Amino acid sequence: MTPGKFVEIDHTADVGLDLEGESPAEVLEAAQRGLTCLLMADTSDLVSDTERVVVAIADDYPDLLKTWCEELYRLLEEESFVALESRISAFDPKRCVGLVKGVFVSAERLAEASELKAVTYHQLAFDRDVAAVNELWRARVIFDV
Amino acid sequence: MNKVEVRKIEPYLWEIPKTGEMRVPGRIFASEDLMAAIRTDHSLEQVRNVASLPGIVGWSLAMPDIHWGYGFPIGGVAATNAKNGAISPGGVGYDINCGVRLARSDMVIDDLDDKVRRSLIDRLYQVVPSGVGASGAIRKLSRSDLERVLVNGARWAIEHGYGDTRDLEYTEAGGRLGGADPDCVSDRAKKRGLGQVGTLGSGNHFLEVQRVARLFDTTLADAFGLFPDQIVVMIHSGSRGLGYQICDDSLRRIRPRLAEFGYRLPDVQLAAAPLDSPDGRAYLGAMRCAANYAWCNRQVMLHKVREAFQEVFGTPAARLGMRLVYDVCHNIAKVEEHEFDGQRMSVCVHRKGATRAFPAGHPEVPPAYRDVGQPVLVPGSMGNYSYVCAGAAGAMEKTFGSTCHGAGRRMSRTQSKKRSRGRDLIGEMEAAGVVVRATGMRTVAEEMPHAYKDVADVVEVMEAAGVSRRVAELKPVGVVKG
Repeated sequence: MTPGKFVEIDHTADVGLDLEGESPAEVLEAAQRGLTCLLMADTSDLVSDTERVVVAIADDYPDLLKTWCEELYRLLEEESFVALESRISAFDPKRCVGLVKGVFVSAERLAEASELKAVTYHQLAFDRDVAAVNELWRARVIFDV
Repeated sequence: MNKVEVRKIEPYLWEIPKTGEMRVPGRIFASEDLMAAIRTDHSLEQVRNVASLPGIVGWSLAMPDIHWGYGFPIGGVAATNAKNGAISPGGVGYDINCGVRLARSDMVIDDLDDKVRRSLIDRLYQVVPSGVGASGAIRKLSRSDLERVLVNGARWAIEHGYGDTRDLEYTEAGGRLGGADPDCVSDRAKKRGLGQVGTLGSGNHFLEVQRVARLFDTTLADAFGLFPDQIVVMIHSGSRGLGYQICDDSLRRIRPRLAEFGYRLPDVQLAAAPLDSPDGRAYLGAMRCAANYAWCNRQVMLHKVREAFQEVFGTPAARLGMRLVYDVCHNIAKVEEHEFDGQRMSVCVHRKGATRAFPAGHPEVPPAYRDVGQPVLVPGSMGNYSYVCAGAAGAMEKTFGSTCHGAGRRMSRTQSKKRSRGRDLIGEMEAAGVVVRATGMRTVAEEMPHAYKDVADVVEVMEAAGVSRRVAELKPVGVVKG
């Protein structure tokens, strides 16, 4: 299966991600990779050595995407844990469980990361694109930085 | 890009006529050139959307540094009737009480030779933590101390030795909003706030050592204690993770309840609650906690700045004349008394990327400035100039006592990074006479002067409109970035 994709998008003062995948899980996994890419200038020297379980609970698909991103950022801000890869192991529209592999980084390395003020509701979307030939799942999320 | 009808009604004032769901017209302060830039994003649509807020009084206003935000534009002002109007977390923003503080000194630029300047910036970079997860400026707060910070704001800092009581006189609202209710703040927000007092943050936040490069009004400058070539320090930061979390918690709570309030709003990020409702009161109580936290944060940073100057110059900060000129917030909602259509009324003024600009004679202006109006601090882009302005009489007539807050972005972060690629950014800044210390090059690339409008154009518009007057132009000589 082709993994989900992410593309960085512009917002005047902030940044965002356009996401797509063959399943909601792929979209969430792509969101993790995109978010890490936005937050960390360079992860090429980082190697996963720890696995964490991340649970996100929400009201609907878009809220699930927002909450998933918030939980990943919480790991960075509070625990200095950089998520390098993820696999959604359980999913329903209001809850997901992700196995996140990554590494704890030093305070100096953490300070180099971009700070997120919020995962916003602005243009937040996560739905199946029924107009597309392959009915991909698409999502958009904007971060206040 | 922008299809909103807007017409010029005065040389520096434009109007969006009231149509559809709008309860009031929109009004934008801008020159022809700035309006051309404003039209390139969606901010005019947001001015129009804000005009539909329940209880909005007068106009949905935008300052010349307006740009596309979430729900409200950055640079937006909306006053809602305090009796029956709405309060919107999106009208304040995520960084509640993001603001600016300026300290003056008796030193002049010749006192800072290159070696001393580098030592000073290095020391400031060490003592004021910045970047993600920054903490440790002071010991981590206990839960009970945090609650006192949330209620007492900058007063807590003064009581714990981080400054003196004079600082409070020169801080908007005395560095403390009454009515703060820590019970309305989530555990998650409190947890985020425990270790971040005295930290700068990231993004567009900065600490700059500046020189007074130009005076526009010597009488006003004298009143503010400013003179040519003087060394001053500007701090731009807010309520850190605690404030971000309070905004997010409030949006999450209020957003699904709009129908219950009978609110039909054109953008979910405009989510609002009646001021006089449990949800409205809860947001106001929590927002005031974040505002107080931010004032405490900037007060502690000022203390750290004074300590750094003291160490580098070997002279007590008081003898270096390091006094606070003023501290203003530019992301806030405050209940204030204003006159509109000949009626005195209590309104909740949302300032999202807008600065209070009370004129001479206003009782909330510190006594020392009451004859001239409150200082308005308008930071420019990193490495460019910033401005000290003063509130003018027009602010009370035209903007509910508000003016601009900064340069306003004209280029996205991604575009700015692309334009910065392959360049020696730190070298360029050094060549321009600015020493930069930053936690990462990415923020520097995103915050280069080319990404922003010229703040000179912004302050000129507000002066021409009679809302605020230019007092001094400040040029950076050293920058600390998160």
